[in-house]
Amino acid sequence: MSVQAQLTKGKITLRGSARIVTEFFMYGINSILFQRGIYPIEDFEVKKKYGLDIWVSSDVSVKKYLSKIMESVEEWLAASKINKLVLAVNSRETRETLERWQFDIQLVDEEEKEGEKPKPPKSEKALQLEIQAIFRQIAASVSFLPIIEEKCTFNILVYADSDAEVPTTWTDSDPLHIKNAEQVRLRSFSTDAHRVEAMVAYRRDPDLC
Amino acid sequence: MLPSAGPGKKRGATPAAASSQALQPQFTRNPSANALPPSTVIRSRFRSIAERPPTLIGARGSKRYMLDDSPSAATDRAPWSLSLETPIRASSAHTSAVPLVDTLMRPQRLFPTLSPLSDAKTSLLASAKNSDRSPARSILDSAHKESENIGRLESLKRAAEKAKFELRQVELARERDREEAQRAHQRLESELLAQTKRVEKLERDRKWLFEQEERLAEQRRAVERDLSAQRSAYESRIDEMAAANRELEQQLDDASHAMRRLKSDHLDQIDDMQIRLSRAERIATQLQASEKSDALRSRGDFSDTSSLQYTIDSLKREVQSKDQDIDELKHRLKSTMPSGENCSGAADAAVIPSRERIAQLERDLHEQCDYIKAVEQQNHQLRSETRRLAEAASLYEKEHEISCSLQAKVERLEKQQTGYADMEARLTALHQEREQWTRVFHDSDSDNSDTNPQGQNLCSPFAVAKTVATQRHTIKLLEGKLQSMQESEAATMQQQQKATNDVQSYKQKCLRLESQLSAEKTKTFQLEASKQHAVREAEFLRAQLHSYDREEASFMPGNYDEQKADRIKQLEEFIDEQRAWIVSLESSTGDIRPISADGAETVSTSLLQGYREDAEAKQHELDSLHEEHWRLQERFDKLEKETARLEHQVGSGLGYNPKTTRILQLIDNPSAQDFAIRSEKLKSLAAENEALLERIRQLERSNPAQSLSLQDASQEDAVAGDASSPYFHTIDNLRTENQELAHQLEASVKLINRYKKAWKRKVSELREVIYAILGYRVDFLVNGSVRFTSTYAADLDQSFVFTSGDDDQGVMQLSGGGSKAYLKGLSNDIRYWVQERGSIPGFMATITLQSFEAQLDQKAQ
Repeated sequence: MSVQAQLTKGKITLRGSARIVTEFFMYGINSILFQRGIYPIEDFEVKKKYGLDIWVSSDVSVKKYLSKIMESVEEWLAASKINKLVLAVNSRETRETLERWQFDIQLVDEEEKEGEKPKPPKSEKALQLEIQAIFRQIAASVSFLPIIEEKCTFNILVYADSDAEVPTTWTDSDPLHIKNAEQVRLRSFSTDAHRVEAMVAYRRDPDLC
Repeated sequence: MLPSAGPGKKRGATPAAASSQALQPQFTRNPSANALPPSTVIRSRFRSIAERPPTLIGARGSKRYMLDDSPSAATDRAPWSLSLETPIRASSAHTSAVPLVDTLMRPQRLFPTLSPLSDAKTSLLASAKNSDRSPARSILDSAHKESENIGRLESLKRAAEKAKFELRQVELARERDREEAQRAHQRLESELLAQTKRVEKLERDRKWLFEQEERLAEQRRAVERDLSAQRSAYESRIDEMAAANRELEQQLDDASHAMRRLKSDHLDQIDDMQIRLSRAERIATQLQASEKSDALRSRGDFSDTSSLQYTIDSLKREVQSKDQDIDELKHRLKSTMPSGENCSGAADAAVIPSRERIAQLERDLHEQCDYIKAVEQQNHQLRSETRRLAEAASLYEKEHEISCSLQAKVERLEKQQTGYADMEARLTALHQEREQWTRVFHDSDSDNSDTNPQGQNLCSPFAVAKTVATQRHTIKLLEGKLQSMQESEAATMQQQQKATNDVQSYKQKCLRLESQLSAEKTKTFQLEASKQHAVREAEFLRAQLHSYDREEASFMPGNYDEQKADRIKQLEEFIDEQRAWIVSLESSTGDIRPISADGAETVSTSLLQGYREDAEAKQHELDSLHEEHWRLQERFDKLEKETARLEHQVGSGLGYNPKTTRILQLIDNPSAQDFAIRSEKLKSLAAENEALLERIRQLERSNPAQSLSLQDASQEDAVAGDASSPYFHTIDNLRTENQELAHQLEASVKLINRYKKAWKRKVSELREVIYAILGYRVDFLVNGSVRFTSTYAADLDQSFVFTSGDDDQGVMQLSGGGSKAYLKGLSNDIRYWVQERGSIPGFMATITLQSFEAQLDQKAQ
């Protein structure tokens, strides 16, 4: 069932919400990679999504890596076994983490109190507007984030529950924390089943301290 | 009903009541006239005099609505006065949880007024009706009203005084509040100062800590330098030991080679010697056999081979003795007989060959023995050399093992160092976290002892988690409480605002009452003056009337009407009576009025008192709410800070529970790939470097005269196919570098393609823009020239070709066109615009216009 069908049918199911969130992660990560210049501009192409022009990587290895990740993430989202997804930007030279884009995932509480009317399903337009706002913030974050002057690479971390089923292609990692960090909370969006809050933490410029 | 109209004094019980009722029955319809005596029906000549008050009343009719505000009016309106909010009722209403707003909103009902319009209407009607009254009645009414007004004014004065007092009280309360606020402001300033001092102290502490951190960092750097120096020393030592090891290995190889060579030589020599020995033995056996045969021939019986040597020796001795005998015999023969030479010569010829052979054999034997001894000695030396080399080899093994163990130790030390650094970093982070948590718990313990009443031990993670959960729950509760308190504070603020508005309205009302009071005062003075004037005028007129009466009685006795005079007298008496009645009425109303005024005052005072109490209670409540709000705000700020800190921790990647959460990454991630590539590259470069260094060392060790050149060595390496050769590493590295360069080339190609696409897009856009705006299609030709074809050109060959000038400085020149005939037709324009004026744009515009007009003409035709 497509996302559109999920949206038009009525309230979004957990599986449909997982798909929406995964899609958002896919495009969000691509947008961050483009905006932060992790890969050259030639490796990106424009795609129309959420009513916006979003730059998506055309590099085969990156696409393959992201699709692998999103496959597992969608499963974990559907099983409610994930609570964070982090995109860490690392320096190639020093392997130090320079930026940390964190997406907190919360399960929306579905309990309905007695006597209260059930919440109406979120419209596609409202959802799209919320996601648009996040993408606009990602694009605007270039103005306040420090300029990345060294060659960088990235890594994606997933904060999963300890009882989650982990494929053999995954391994444990350290949190890749940033020393002397500053952080900015971005907007959030929510489906009927998940709520995603975005945040970016970056290394404070030592010259400014 | 007026108080004067008591049970013993009914309306119309005055002496003229009956006649007045008979004469003016219509006045009974006027309710206000019910209290008037019946003498009002009298029509006299005072009408013209008494008509003034109605005009006066008419002129001030607009003020008459105050009539209804009088206490008497209040007493008249008994039914609605039941709904009047007395202070007691107000307080009871307040205590019975009736909103203060309702009680505050009601005071205006204390003095309810009819609308001025209705008052004016009623006054006009009254004046219209009173216009038919007698002047005396009007005077009486006016006097009555004046007295009422005076009473009302007095009550208003008192009310105003009370209101002023209340206002003063309110102002004093506000002053106190202001002073309280000022004190609070000073207290806050002092707190701010203390906070500033604390901040400065913290700043100093921070600086001190920063210095400490710098000092520690310096120490750490020194330790790192020492470690790196030790590491480099260890590395150099390892290198030296490795070099020594390699030298020893080389020596061992050389020695083993030499030993093998010597051994083979010795073996060859031994074999040779054995062969020679066997040959010598063979010869010896042959000789022995020949000697044996000789001995057998000479002695005949020698069977024992073991006694051969003895026999040989004995033979030698015998030979020597025989030789001596022979020599003696030779000497004898030489000396005795010359013929004996032939005999001795024959004997010598028989003995000499055997002796020579024996001597030869002895020499050979001796040589062989010497050689065997030398070989044995050499063998012994080689054995000792081999033993020494074996010992050296064992020593080398030991050294190698030591070096390996040292290397492993160094690696272990490095790992431990990195692990130690990681552990130290983690320990520092954990210390910080622990301090923060301790601070949090300490704060929460000190602040909210109720949240942790049992004094839970926070040493276990479960307790910490539980406490954190409890704290979160408490925070949520406090947030909810804070929200409710904020709402109640907002409500209280609204109430306070409302109270302030009420005070303002009271002030305005007070001002209005004061202005009314002043107006009433003025009116009272005017009425008093008019009354005095009217009294004086009445006295004067009365005196004048008396004088007329006296004149008439004295001068015109016939005309003097006795009855009339009696009547007038009677009327005068009636007036006096009425005056007395009015005075009594005033006195009676004066008794009542203070009561009512006092009642009103009591009502207003108690109401104000109630309001004041309410206001004080609300103020207290507001203060307590402010205090609570302040406390909650502080708590909220603290929790906000804590939340921000925890969020910061979470955002920087530290705050997670490793027991419940796993941080996962894909094994094959870009970062790991990049690191692996870099590590591989580093390793290969290190190997290449090591191999090259080894090669250099080998070349340095070897003798330059005997060493091979680099070319030969490379050829040798190539021939040998040694994979550890530095050139293979170099080739591998160059291949990797080549791949990277190929990647870069691909990226450059991508970039160039993107630029090309963008360039093409922009160029087409430019062409379209020029075509749309300037009307020319631009074609860039191969030779650098540009062809312009007008939009309105009739044919495709009607075009112009422009080329750059000779200096190629961007100056364009018209160099030709698509059709010579076309250009020829435009020769005048070309000469005019291009050659004479040097304006290509002008020429092009002219051509455009001409083409356009030609096209229009064609279409028209």
